[in-house]
Amino acid sequence: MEDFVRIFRSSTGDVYHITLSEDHSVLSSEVIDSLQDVNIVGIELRRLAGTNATGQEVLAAIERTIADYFTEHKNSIICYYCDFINPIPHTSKNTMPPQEYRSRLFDKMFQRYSLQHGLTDVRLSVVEINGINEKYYFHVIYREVHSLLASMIGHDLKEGFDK
Amino acid sequence: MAKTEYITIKNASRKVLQRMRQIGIDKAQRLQEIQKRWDEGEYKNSEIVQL
Repeated sequence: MEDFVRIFRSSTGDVYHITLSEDHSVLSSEVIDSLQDVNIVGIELRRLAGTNATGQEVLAAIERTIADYFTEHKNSIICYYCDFINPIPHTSKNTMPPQEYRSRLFDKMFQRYSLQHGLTDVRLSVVEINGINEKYYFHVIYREVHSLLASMIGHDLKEGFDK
Repeated sequence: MAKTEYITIKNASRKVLQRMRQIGIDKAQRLQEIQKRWDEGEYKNSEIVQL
């Protein structure tokens, strides 16, 4: 499966890069063996230039890019990790951690796009993994037909790494 | 209507948390590599969609 790359420039001149690519690195061999013809696709999103606040036009372009890819790749499950290292620009100190901010934002974007486009058979699982002082987030976007696999992935994130 | 399901894994083991952290570090490195390619002009012939 070839990587899908799109670069876009906002009306304020900021440049964003999004890659969707096959990524089984977060899964155990048991889950990978169960996939058959289903591909797990990861997302990497990066602002390459500019420092303006990310506006609605950019968020909408990200939503469209992911949705178009998902529509064209019927046997895909999208599974992405919310980055905890790169800070969120234009947020004040002492707000929520960047990974939680990203998780909430991407959840809202998914909900908005689904509502606007009347998606009925697409689901999002938000997996929150809690330590004592830290949290990590994985999002899994899948069609209903892949519910069982999505559930296995959610389980695998805990138990697969515990083995 | 699309639905979001929220799954919380509480008290994850040290092993799981270490793995989660490593996945994040690996991802950050890949994002840095994309930035480096951009800074070095590797995308100058790529299509850039104007919003």
